[in-house]
Amino acid sequence: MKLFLPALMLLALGLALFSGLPVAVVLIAVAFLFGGIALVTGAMRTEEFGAIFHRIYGTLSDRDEVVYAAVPMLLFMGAVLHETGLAANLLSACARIFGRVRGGPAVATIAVGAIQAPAAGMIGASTGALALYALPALRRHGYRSADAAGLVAAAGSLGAVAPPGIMLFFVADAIGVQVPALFLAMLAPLALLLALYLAFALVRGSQPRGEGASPASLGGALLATALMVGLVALVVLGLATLSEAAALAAAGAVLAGVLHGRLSWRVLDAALRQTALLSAMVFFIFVGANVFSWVFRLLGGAEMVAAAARALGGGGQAPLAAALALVFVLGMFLDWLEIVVIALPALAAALAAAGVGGELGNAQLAGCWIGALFAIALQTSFLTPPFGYALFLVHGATRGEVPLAQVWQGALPYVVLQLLALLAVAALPDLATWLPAQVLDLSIPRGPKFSD
Amino acid sequence: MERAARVLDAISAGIGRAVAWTGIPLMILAAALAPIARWIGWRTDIPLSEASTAAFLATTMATIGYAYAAGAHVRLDLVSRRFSPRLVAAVELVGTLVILLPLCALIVADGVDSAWRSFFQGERWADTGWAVQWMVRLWVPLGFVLLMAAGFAGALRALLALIRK
Repeated sequence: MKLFLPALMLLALGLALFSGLPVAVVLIAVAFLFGGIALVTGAMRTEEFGAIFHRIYGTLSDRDEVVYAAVPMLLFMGAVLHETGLAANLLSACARIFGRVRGGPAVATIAVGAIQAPAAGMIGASTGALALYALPALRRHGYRSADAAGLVAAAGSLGAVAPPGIMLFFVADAIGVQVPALFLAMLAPLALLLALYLAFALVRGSQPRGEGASPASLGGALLATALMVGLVALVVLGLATLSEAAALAAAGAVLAGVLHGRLSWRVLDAALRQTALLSAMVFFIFVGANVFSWVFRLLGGAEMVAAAARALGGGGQAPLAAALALVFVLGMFLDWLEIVVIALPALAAALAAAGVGGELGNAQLAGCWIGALFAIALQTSFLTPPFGYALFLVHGATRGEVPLAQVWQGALPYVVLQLLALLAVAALPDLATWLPAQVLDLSIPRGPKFSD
Repeated sequence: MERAARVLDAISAGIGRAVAWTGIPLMILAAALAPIARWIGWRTDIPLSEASTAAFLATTMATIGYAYAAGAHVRLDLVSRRFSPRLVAAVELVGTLVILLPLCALIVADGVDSAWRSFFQGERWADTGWAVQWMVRLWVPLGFVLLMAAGFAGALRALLALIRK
């Protein structure tokens, strides 16, 4: 009986979402409705109901770690790089560097996909832009449309799992692991993914066609790379907080725009507009999910999810596999943001309760491992036919010139590569945990947010 | 009615843009200066991180209505895109009147109350001790008032669509 109300709450959320009303509004509304029911039936006290309001202000003004402000700053940096054309420079420079080798254009596309991390995943425009710049170049080099489209979709989604990606930020928050730790944890799995992609690019490579590198675009490429690397380094070395580093990188992007003579009021206005709209959208859902989770937990939702995880049994492997499969399936229908802020906190808490990752001996390390797995599973779901997000983006960016069926066909090999990487990280947690354990002090535990 | 909707949209979008266009540069500037000030051992009593957080909260709250007016909030249209235009309009109208507006009103009432209490209790910023946190708290009800304006505009449009058949 106790599990009845949270189950009903999930069901109500699922149904109400289909109304087509904004997701954030639906989340808050369902939370208030079930909060009200619980208040009437006595399952919730009046103070607890009042605390719902505090979640709205409290979520955004976390005084302990001022990290959320990093999100609009990262978005702004990505928007400036994009609007000034410096991101496009990056691709042409990479194409020139790698143009002389077998599979070079593919390698260049993959490199750009990984470097444009903060914008990727969040802004469909970054995959769209990659499609606009890279698809014609790939075709010119003799790639079949299907192969080229699959490659662009896969490379575009790669940014989602590369630090300092926005998705990783929210995954870390949902699991209750330090953001820098997850950034570091992703480096080895990312390298593995890159190696798999590159090997595939070489095997399927086209004939080389040399073009000389132009110093101007090379400068832009180096700059964009330096911004990302510098940002992560500042945070990992403890020289700056995440939002401070993000602010420095954003300022650096503006400066780079000025130095290249590409910054105009129009560019600034477009970048600010994109940042404001995206950030409002993201944080409205984030606040909504926090309010929802708060009521869900008060109604015993955490116990319900944990009971479900225990019912699967299997000593940790089965709950983990089930959670990853669930994320993967949800990823075919929902955007990553909804999955990460709504489902992930509950799943992570359930996995922790089932003792998954306990053999790693440290909640932070277990979180790094589980976070890396979730991130790769989410990225894979972008690429999986029939509903993968990146597939639609590529199809859309070509104005339907490449049929969806061809994009699906082209993306399939990359789905296989993704699953290989996922299995490797699942089998060898060291891939995700070794680097953060070496560099960071993870002795300060920060339990799962869902249960604090 | 269409004009009323446009005016409401313009209000929420205009204020949202004005706040974002100052808030985002301010938040970046403050957060970028903070580590530099620390590295060169400059005076530490400048509320840079507090200001950055305040700018972030103000910007986020003030732009929720703007994003609503611009149609930037995620909606799950898996099912609803098969609805007839009339059903979409009806759902929008009922959803706004029954869910969005009352919800906003509740949040605005509580937000004003919380800012009021913060003002009287003199809630302070950690690094300077200035008792100005109530101004930050006030952005929550302000933001939801703007969202109400944008929501009301959407409801008017939905009503128009229903009347015109």
